[in-house]
Parts: sequence; C-alpha cells; structure tokens
Amino acid sequence: MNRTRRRAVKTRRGPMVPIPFTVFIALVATGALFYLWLCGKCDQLGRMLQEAEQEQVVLQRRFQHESLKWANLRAPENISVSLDRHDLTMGWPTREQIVRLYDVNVEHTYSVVGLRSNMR
Amino acid sequence: MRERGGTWRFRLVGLLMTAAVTGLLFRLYMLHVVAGVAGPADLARGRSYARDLRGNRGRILESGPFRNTLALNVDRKDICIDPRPLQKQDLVSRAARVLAEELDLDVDALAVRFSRPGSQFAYVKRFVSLEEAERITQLDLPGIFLRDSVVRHYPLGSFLCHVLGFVNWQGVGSSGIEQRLNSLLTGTSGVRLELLDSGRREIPDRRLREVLPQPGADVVLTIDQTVQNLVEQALDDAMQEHNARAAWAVAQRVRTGEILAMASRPAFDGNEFISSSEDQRLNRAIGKVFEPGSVMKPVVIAAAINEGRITPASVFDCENGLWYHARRPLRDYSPHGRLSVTEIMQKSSNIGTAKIALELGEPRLEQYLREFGFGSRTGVDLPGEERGILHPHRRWSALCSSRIAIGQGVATTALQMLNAINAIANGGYLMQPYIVREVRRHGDGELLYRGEPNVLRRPITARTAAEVMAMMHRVTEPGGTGRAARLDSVSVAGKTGTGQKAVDGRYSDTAYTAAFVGFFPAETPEISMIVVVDEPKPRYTGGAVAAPVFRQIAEPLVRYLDIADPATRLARTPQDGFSE
Repeated sequence: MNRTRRRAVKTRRGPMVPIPFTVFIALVATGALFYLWLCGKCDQLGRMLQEAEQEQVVLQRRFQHESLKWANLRAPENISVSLDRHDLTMGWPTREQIVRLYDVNVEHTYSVVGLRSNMR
Repeated sequence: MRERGGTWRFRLVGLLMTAAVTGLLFRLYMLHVVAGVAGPADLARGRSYARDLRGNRGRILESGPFRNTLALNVDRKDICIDPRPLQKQDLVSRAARVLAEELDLDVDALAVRFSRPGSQFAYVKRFVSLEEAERITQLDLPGIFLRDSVVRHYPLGSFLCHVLGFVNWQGVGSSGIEQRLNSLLTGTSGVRLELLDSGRREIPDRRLREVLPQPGADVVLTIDQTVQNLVEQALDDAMQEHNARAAWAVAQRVRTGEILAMASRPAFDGNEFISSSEDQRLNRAIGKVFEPGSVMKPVVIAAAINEGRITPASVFDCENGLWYHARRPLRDYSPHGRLSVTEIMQKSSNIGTAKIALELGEPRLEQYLREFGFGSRTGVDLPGEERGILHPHRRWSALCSSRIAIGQGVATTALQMLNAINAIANGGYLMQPYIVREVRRHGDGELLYRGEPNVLRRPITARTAAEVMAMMHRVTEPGGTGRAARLDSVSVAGKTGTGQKAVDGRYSDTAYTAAFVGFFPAETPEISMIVVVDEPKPRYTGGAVAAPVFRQIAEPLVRYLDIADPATRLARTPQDGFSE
C-alpha cells in the first residue's frame, strides 16, 4: 500500500497536460494541417487549371494554324499550282474512263454510261 | 505510467504545434514571397478583375467532298506603344526606324505618332502574326507591349469573296454571308472574375466566377469549291481575253435551286477589304441589274405557248430584218423571212419575238414576267440583292411590250434571269435559290438550320416547259446562235443575249453586255448556269463571248459532277442487271 502511494507521488512530478486539452490541441492542429493541405491542394489544382488553360490556348492556336495550312493545301488553285510545279497535267476523267464498283446487296438504281464497253 | 503518458502527450502536442506553425509559416512565405503579397498596401492593390472571354466566330465551309474552310478566326497581336519612355530616353527616331524596317511601315508616320506630347498609347501595327509579334518583343524597345486580338481570315484570299463578304474591325459581318448570318456566326462572350496578386497575375486558387463563352455556329454553304474554282478561272480568262469591264456567273442545281457557284469580277481579298473599292466589292450576280437582251426571249415565248397563243410550229414574218412598230424601227442581227417559233428562238429574231409579245398582250406579258420572278427579289440568303426593274404595264408605252420581249426596258439581276430559265428547265416550277446548306452549332454539331428546296410557284405547265426546252436545245445546234456553248459530253440548251447598254439616256453602239444562260443535259436538266460579260471588246455578242465561257466551265463540270447524257444513259438495278 505504502509502495503504491510513493510511486503515485513520483508520477506527478513530470509536466502535466490534461487529456481533454491534449485532444483539443490535437484537433486544432489536425484542423490546421488539414486546412494547409487543402490550401496546397487548391493551389495545386488552380495551377493545373491555369496550365491546362494555357495548353488549350496553345493547342487552339496550333489547330488554327493547321486548319489554315490544310485549307490552303486543299484549295483547287493551290492543287493546280502544285501539279504545275511537278509538270503534271491532270483533268477530270470522262465517264468511259471510270470503272464503277457496285454493292449488289444495296437496292437502288444506278445511272451509268459506258458500261457496255466495260462489260465486253 | 502516468509520467510516461504525460511526456508522450506533451511531445505529441509539441510536435503537432510545431508542424502547424511551420505549415503556417510556409504558407505565409508562399503568399508574401512567392505570390508577392507584401502587406496591407499590396493586398489592397490586389483586386478582382473581370476578364472578357471571347466566343470565337463560327467558320464558313464549302459543301464539296473536302468541306474546306473558307473563313475562320485566327489569333493575332496588336503591337502597341507607350511613347513616354521613348521620349524621355530620346529614342523616338531610332525606335521608329527599327519598327518601320521590321514591320514594313512608314518611318515618318511612326515618328510623328511616337512624338505626340502627352500621348500614353499608340498602335504601332494591328493584327500581326504571333511570330512577328515575338520578333518585335525581342527588340526590347522601351514602351512596347502587345495586346491580344483576333482577326477574320479568309485562307483562300479572293476566292468566293462576294459570297463570303467580310468582317469589319469591330468583328461585325459587313457583307455577304458574314453579314446575313452575323447573329449565328457570332459567338456569345463569357467572363472570368479573377483575383489578381500585386504582379497582376491571377491567384490560381482565387477564381471568383467563370461564365464560359459560346463559340458561333459553323455555316456550310451549298457552294462547291471545285465548281467555284472552275467558274472563277473562266471569268478571269474571259476578262483578259475580251478586255471586259466586268464579268459574273452563277451555277445552280435545276431541281433544288441550290447555288453551286457564284462569282463576280473584279474581285477583292477579304483579308484586305479596307484597300478594295466599292466596284470590286459589288456582287454583280445579285447586286447589278442589266438589260438582259435576248436571253429574255425564252420567257416570253414560254408565256405565249402557255397561254395557247402560239405553238412551236407557228410561223411569223420577220420582215427581212427591219420592222417598224409604233413608228420606231426594230432590226434583227441578220435578216430573216418567215420563221417558225422554234427558228425565231434558234436565230434569236428580235422581230419575231416582238410579234409574239404583241400576240400575248401587255397584261399577260407583265403577269408572266412577274410570275417568273422579274421585278422582285429571289430571296436568296445574301444581302444586297436588287429587285430589278419591271414597270407595271399601265405605264408602258405602245413600244414597250415589243422591246421588253427582246430584253430592253426591263432590268434583271443575273440570278433572277437564271432562276427564270431554271423554272423552264424544271418542268415549270420556280425554285427559290439558296446558298446556305446548313448551320451547325460548334462543338456538339447540333443542326440549327437547314436550307431546303422551296417551290415558289409554277408559272408554266410541264408541257410548255418541255416545248421551250426543246427549242432552247436548238440554239446550241448548228445554225443556232449558241453553238459555242455546245459540249462534247452532254447536250446543252440555252440562249444567247447581247444587250446594248444605255449611256446618257441612249443605247450605246459600243458598249454591250454579252450573256449566255443555259442548262444541261438538255433533255433532263441537272445544272443551269448564266454567264454575263460586261463591255467585252472587240467581240461583243453573247454567242461569241459568253457562250464559250459557259462551255469552258460546263465541260469539266460535267465530268466532275458525273453527269450522264440521257441519250447514252443506262439504268441498272442489282436484281435485273442492265437495261437500256
């Protein structure tokens, strides 16, 4: 009995922090850390968003640029210029020069010319 | 036990508080040092900013297999300057010289602009490419800064310029499709409410509000770029060959009324509309009225046949080329005696057609002309269309009906004339011409509008139409005035026209309008087309000037559109093989 009391007196000598206070402080600290984590996360997401927006602008400009190039490549006048540059003379084919392939399972009427010569 | 537990808790609390304080210090460091918010003064300076988000204007596309882009928005930069640092450092003349060299500008004009006392802002050059702007910033001139801008760009330059129109510097469509469909093409702007730091950069996690912009809709035209290119090349050739003042042409699908090509010369580059003249910007196909001359004759003859006043075999005395009516002489280009109505059409006899018009009577003639669409707009979806001139018959003199029959005293646009002939080729049905195939929302592609064939009315019966078509076919046969429009691949029906231009209140003997309007194949028409050449020299007749242009366009067009001549056409069904 005496031994036990002596030990209890000894334990009171260390720094005493009440348990509810510790829990409170722990909660506050956890909340603060969580807030910081959230801030960091928001900041990170905001930066990601900004980077994505900047990337979108760059991609849109690139798309515009490519659209322009593509439109120019497909312009009949530029196709003619390219053909001329390579000494190629091309014209639209006559109906007799076209070989037509038909899907027999499709039900519709075709108008064709020159098939007689192709069938011989 | 309690002592050990207390120490553990103390250490834990200490650790947590240290972590929290370190975290808060880190956050403060990030805010004050990295983001640059130094104190209350800076915090006050950091403010919200409403950034306008532009909804891009929609694209305009052609309808061919490529669906090529004809108009789109592209990002550009405005190079701006605050001239005060230049003035302070006495660098005005050097900066003006360097910028003028780099941007191909007038050095004196720049120097004047930079020297204005008290000026805080001046444009150096607007709408420059991003690469060019980058080059200028590398010059490191004091006071130079860039502003974002956007410009409407027409990748193919003057191609289809009159149909596309242009957009002014405020971004508003000011002619052509750009004007007519401005509300659909223009997107709606958005807004972004940002919180800025002291360096006027957006604080990434402090965006207050964002309303996204809606881009404008994409417009698909009925124009096919290959057909358009054929027409434009032929007009350029005609302008050069015939020393013409202007030339214009329209190609249309007979059954639907959709316009495949519409071109006018002289032309302009939509990218540099500011340097173009009003004459260049005029879409003559719809905005220029002219006396059509003999191309009017099929309409008058169709009216008389439809009324049962004549038949293709009816014979008229063409007075050997000179006939007086209401005391005024009327001449034929070459003298003819008695001609059937078919021959009157084939040889384009003025006297014969005038007599047919008199047979029809003034009220009926006016009624039919109005039913064919003369004197009123066709309703094509383009701005600036003229209605032409057709006075009511009560105001006609005794001479009028004989002159209107040969295309004098009446004025039409090329599209009106083509549409009237199109009605003859289409079994009598007058179609409303249209040039917008569809409008689709950008992104999800939802259909907002679709242009569809629309029958306006039926001025003549199918039988009358067939008889007039057969007569018009004879025009391109040997002996007809339109032989030069004849094609090797398919039959062509048409009519030549040579209109004398009115100069100072009198018909000129030197200024003419040459025209040819026709369709092919003659028996089952698919495409109709009109070609008009203004003041060609030295040859000036429709048969010598406009008909060859028609042929130049139509020959490759037949191949491109894979049009078959009904005379050699075969019908095939998968079930029963081939049948002639």
